[in-house]
Amino acid sequence: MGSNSRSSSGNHYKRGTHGSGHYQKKGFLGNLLNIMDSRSGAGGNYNNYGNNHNQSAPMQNQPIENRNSINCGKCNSSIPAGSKFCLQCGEKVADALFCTDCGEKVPFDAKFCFKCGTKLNG
Amino acid sequence: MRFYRTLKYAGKKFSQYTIDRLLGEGRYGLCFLARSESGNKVVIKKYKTSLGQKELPNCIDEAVILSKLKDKRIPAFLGVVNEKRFYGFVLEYKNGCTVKELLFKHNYKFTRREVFHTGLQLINIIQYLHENGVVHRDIRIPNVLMYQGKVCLIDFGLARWADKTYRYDLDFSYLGDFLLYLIYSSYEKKEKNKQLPWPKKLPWYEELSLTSEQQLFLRKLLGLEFVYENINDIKTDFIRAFSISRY
Repeated sequence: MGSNSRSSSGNHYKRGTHGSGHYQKKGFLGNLLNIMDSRSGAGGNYNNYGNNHNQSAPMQNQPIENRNSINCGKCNSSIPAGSKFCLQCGEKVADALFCTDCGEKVPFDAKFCFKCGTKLNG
Repeated sequence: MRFYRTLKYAGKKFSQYTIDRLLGEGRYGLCFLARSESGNKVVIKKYKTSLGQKELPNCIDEAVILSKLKDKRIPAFLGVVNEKRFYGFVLEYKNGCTVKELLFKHNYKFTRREVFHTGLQLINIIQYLHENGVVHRDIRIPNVLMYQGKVCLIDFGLARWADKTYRYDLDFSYLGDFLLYLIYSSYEKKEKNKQLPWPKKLPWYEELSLTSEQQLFLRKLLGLEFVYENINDIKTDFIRAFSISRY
């Protein structure tokens, strides 16, 4: 048995009924199990009680994450919104932009100027 | 293989960084210790890229998440290197030893007091991540660094924004597993069981001497009882069950 449990879709969840044979093990087998643990999965939870009642989306501060992107001023590649750097050429992305109309400082991923409402690029 | 890779990259310069040595490797690729032109230590996480691949490796989430997080307990995202078929992220170098190295290389035994302090620091980091909408999804002993008693969490390669697919409770089960590694570091098998040709394999809740509160806490983390709703409840219960005054 592996060190975790997975659903048919490859999700992984530490079910945790191991003992010293697992937690005090090192060497090849220990490493192998760790590699297996590190698999990418869809991240759902599965437990003996099937009680996945906490499946709601983030309860705390929601991230301002979205899939919008801006274009790099240096190489013109698309930069995912929120990234500090262009992922192609490494150019640093400014933390904030300025409205072309009124000059107000706005976050780099804002669609409109908060002051004058001018539509912004991106 | 490790020696060959170190030899292949050591001393090579990519952008303004000179590779020093290989730190580790994973499914994503290789991780190097490097130095900037000003002599500062950095980590370069080089991603596997197949020949002729024009698209970026699957690391966009990691870039955006690390860009958002600003905390000394998490490596800062310092830049991108993309040249000569070498694609990688430049990350802040964090001093220290991984918990895996501490346990299995240095045979370090965590006292209950250290389990509490280490666990609480890790819970605080998870709390910070969850407050920012991030699920780490890979909180394991090789990804937790310790330096002078302070804890850092590294490797955000599997981290995602929490949603219905990527739920917070995945981190809870990993936290439970992590804590058991710490607790087991000072566990000694009973002599009677040691002498048996095939020692009996017992689960942790039968082997370890834990209070009922501690056991319930770990069972909930590991999904053997009703799971926790959020990290704040975990923190409260952890302090209640493991605080030093209990020993």
